Amino acid sequence: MNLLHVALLLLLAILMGLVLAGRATAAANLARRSVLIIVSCLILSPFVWLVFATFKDPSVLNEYVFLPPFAEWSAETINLSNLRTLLAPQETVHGTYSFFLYIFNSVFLATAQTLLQVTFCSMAGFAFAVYSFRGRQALFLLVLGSMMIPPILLLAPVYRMVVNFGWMDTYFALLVPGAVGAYGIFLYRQAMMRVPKELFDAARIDGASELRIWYEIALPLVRPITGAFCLVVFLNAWNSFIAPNVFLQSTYKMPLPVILQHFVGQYENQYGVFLAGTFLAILPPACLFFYLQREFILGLTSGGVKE
Amino acid sequence: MYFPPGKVILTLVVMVAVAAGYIGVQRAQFAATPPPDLHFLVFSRAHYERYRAVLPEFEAEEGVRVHMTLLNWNSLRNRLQAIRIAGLPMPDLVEFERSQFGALVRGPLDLVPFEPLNERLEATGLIDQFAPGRLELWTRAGRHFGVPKDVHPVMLAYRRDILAELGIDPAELTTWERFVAVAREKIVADLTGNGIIDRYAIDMSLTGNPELTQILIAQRGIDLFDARGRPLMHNADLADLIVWYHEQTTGANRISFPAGWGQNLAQALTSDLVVFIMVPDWRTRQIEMDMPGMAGKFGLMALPAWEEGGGRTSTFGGTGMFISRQSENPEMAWRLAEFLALDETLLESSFRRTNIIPPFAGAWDLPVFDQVNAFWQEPLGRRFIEVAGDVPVIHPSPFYGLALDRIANVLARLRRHARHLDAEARFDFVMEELGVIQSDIEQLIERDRFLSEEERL
Repeated sequence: MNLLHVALLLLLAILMGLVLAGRATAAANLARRSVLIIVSCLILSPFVWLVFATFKDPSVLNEYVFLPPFAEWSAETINLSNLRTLLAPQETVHGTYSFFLYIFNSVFLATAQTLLQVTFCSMAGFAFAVYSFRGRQALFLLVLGSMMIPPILLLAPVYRMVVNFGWMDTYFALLVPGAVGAYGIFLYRQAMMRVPKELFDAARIDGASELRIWYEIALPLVRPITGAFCLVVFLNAWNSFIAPNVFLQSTYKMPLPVILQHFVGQYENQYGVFLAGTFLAILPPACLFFYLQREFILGLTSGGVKE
Repeated sequence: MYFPPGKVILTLVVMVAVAAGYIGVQRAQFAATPPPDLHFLVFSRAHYERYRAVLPEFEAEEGVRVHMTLLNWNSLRNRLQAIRIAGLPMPDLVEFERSQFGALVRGPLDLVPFEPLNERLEATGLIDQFAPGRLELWTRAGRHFGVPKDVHPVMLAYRRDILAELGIDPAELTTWERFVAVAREKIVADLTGNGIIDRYAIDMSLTGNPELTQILIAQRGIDLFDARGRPLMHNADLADLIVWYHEQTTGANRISFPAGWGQNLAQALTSDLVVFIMVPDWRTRQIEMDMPGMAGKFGLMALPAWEEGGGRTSTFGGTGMFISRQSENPEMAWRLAEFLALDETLLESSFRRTNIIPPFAGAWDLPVFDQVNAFWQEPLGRRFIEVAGDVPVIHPSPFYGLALDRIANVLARLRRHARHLDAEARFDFVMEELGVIQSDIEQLIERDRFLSEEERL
């Protein structure tokens, strides 16, 4: 431990002490903000590292943890070489593809998966919340119980089903088994149980069909939950790795996480290209989140207040 | 516009429509592709790209169409295991890494999903051409299931400039005993006088990274399993090695630093923190790619022996090619495997791209192996070929990975108890622990109801 370490630890201890003392003084406020800034820097540092690595030339990628010293900045040390390699048309046994195809594959799979899950989970949640039928509790417990089975255990049986249905190397193999999940059903059931039943009865009296009640009454009333649920499902589908690897065979059908893994392997690693791809892979969900953040946050905070 | 489910869903609907449109247009060009005659799975991008370059030649010669799929090696393992468990047909030809072999050929011998290649290897005379020990890597109960693709001999890479500065002649480091003595005397140093060691001799994992410890285990001539798959872990040599490893990685006298992989390793090597690193042929290529600025600063030497005149190399990793038992065209799959394994153009381009030498002694005379590598400033291929004939034999087992993990646990437990134990007691402690591992793995093997008679304990 050198002098710098000691000084930083001392500073951190003083700031923490002031915060813990909880005095509403200017010093305490300053301390709080300083601690938050330091913690934010720590949390953001991997992302900053990723961004810097994207723009570092492969020849200096490992030489400097972040960026080269300012004096060494030049087109030879900081450039777009990683992005150029990544975005260059890639030759495969099937033909030549643009990297954007993989991005769109991921966008398609993640959005389709999200839409399917929202549709079927909300329908099932609606049924469990609104209808009384024999065996409802038992069926619901069965659905919840399915959450206890580790997904990897289902790989072999699902694989067999996919082969038997002739879905290998098609998106059906990814979308159909993932079209509904116990977590979503539980979430929508809980949300829809809070909707007054009188609203549904009124709609029925007005002649609405059950499907229309679900679509025009129930779904709009649970929008905050839909926002939060979409975020969770979209990110899961976006990062999905094992299933596409197992069920897809043609390179041009693969989503981003699978393709990116090809740049790091047993015999050679193109870390710069891999990190540039990771940087690009973060952008679509990040943009989506910022665009829809009000809806997402509404969903995450709904239920936070006791009624 | 009124859309009852809300803005989020509307946005997703627009996104899915746009993505589907783009994908549809892009894929139109592949719609008329005819079904392939052979399906081939590979896990290495380097292999994929080289094979892709020569496959048209094979396809034209044989009049077939080969569909090659590249998968990350973890994914390949998942897929092969799913295929195996679900009892579905394997692709005609598969390439995978040696750590996956044991698990994929478990069970009754006649249900192993790959074709034994003994007859084919004998008929073509290939069986006598492999470097020693390479076929054993892919053999269960006398059946050779795989065509070896490599030898992966291990050498020590060192910082040429630092050794020159310290006046150390690598040729004198003939044994590990000598290596450790020189490391303690001349290499390990607190250069700034602040009480922190600034330079260590060698990269060794603190936690007994199984990949690195197995290099030393194999070099010492210790096989964790015999040819029948029986465990051999309750072994005094292994106990001695673990105690030695502990001494070099722990305490004030340690000579090693756990440099890890990737950027960490590059930082440790470029900042002079670590001087030596164990490298199989393929890892030399990683060093070239990760540290291009260090060209000319590294040298290569054989591993120090455990005793004067002892083995000076080991092995790390390995890839084999396997023909599915259910392949509808096993002859063509074999011809493809032969072509990919023996084609000289491919062997040369493979070496240029990966620094990996082939397992066929007959191919070691190719001129490409004598060319001086610009980064290492020596004929890299020839240096590895010089030791390739001494690569130790390793017998595979489904429990090989488990055994290495358990050995790492022994190392961790030794670290916890070492301060209360003298040298002799440490050895006894490790022997006792190895006895437990041996017994546990024997029990696991006994539970396997599908072992053939010759494999029973």
